[in-house]
Order: sequence, then structure tokens, then C-alpha cells
Amino acid sequence: MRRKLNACVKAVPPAEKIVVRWERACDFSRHRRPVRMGPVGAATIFGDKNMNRNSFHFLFCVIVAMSRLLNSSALAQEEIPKISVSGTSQIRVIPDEAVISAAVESRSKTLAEAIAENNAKIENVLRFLKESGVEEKYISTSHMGVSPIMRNANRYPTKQMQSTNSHQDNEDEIESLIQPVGYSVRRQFSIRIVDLKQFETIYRGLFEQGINNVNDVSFNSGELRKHKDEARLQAVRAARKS
Amino acid sequence: MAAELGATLASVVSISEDAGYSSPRIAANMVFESSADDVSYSPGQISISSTVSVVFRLGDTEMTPKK
Repeated sequence: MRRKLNACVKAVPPAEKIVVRWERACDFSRHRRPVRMGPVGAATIFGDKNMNRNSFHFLFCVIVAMSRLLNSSALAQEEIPKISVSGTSQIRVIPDEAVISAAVESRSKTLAEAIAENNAKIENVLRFLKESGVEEKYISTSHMGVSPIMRNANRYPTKQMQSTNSHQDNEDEIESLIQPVGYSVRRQFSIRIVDLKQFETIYRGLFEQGINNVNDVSFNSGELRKHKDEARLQAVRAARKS
Repeated sequence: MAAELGATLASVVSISEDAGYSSPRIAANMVFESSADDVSYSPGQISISSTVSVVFRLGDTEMTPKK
């Protein structure tokens, strides 16, 4: 252990061999000469008995300069007279458009039948919307999905079933549980109605054409940006008056 | 408030806004409760709110408030 320690101590170069020439920021021209420093910078400055007086001068200048800079910026901020005000406004507008989020869901024994039925209903819905004057850009498909329909989704093979039935019965029972009895095809889309006078007609017609799910109906304003700007302007005016 | 203190508003230092928006909505359960024959609706009104906070730099200031 002692041998290893001595070997490590010998491997470290002596501090006197490392010489660093300072770039003096202060007026140290008359003391311009190499300064001996240890390998660990500032720690050595405070620990070295032969530390040069220039190091103290340099650090002192840096600390004084930084403290003056911080004080001057803090004072500059305090000297600016400011006032903080706030204003609130609320405006109410009558909506002029509606967005219907609806879906057509078709179920059939085979996947092909379910898809065909769903496509037929969607075509009817799109034709109806076109005849009602709803432009294509206001109709967008938001979701499409196909999922199997199980005979009983909550029923799974149990240990009791496996122990009471014969091996063949068990296999038949499990096979019947994991085989789907049909397929569900669902297509969801959103319809934007820009003329609210048509809302009732279109809403009723959608059900007649095969829509069987309505997730959400929201009423909006087509000039929302304009109304938001107006609300902001009123709030600024209120803030200036306060 | 600045006028009451005898000061004038100079330049704007900072400005921030907190905006709100709420639109009338028919929830899904309400849609299912109504049938296709009964589509009477009342869209109501859209509420748009805005709260603006402004920090002004004060201009000329007097020690006595204006009357």
C-alpha cells in the first residue's frame, strides 16, 4: 500500500515546473514577469505560500468591477418609472356556422359485406350533402376503423370449463369464442355547415341517409379572428382607461 | 390612474394577453336523446374574452396630483 502511494506521488509533476504567464488586465506592467502557479489554478493561488502579490491585485480588480457592474444595472432598472395596468373585455356573438361530427357504422357477418354496406351509406350521405349545397371542402373524413365482433366479448375459457368438459368439447368451445361472428366498419367525418338556416334540414337528412352516430355538434363563428381582435382592442382600451 | 398621479404614459414596456373562447355545444348524450324528427336547437351565443396586461413607462410626473 505504501509503495503504491509513493509511486502515485512520484507520478505527479512538481508545481514549480508549471509556469503560466498572466495576461494582465490591470496596470501590472511594472511587475511583468512569469508567475509560478500550481496545476489546479485558483486553488493553488490561495494555497501557495509563495503566491505573487499580482494575483491578489488582479482578483481584487475583477471583484470590484463586477460588483460595480451589478449595482449600476440594478439601479438603472429601479430608476425607470413604470406603471402596470390591465383591462378585460368580453363580447358575445351569435354563431353563424355549425360543425357536425358524425359517423356511419355498418355491421355484417363478413368483412366484405360490412365494407360494401358502409360505402353505400357514405355515398348516399355525400350525395345528399352535395344536393343540399354543402361544398366538398367542408366535408372531411376524420377516422376509419374496422373491428371484429365477438360472440361474447366478456366470455373467456375458464379453468372450470377445461376441467368438466372433454378435450374435444374444450377445443370446440374455445374455437367458437375466438372466432368473430361479424365485422364492424366505421367511418367518421365532420361536416361544416356555413348556413345555419340549413342546419335542421341537413341534420335530419343525415339520419335518413344512414348516419347512425353523432358524436358532437358545435356552433362557431366564421369571423372568429375578427371578433378576437375586437375583444383584444376593447381590453387594451380598458387598460389605458384604468 | 396615471393621470390621477399627474403622470403621462410613455412607451409600452411589455404587453401580454390571456384570451378565452367558449362556443355552444351539443354533447353526444344530448344528441342521442333527440331523434332525427326533433332537431329543434338554440345555438345561443359565443363568448369571447380577452384580458390584456400592459406595463407602461411613465413620462412627465408631477409631485401633486392633477385635479
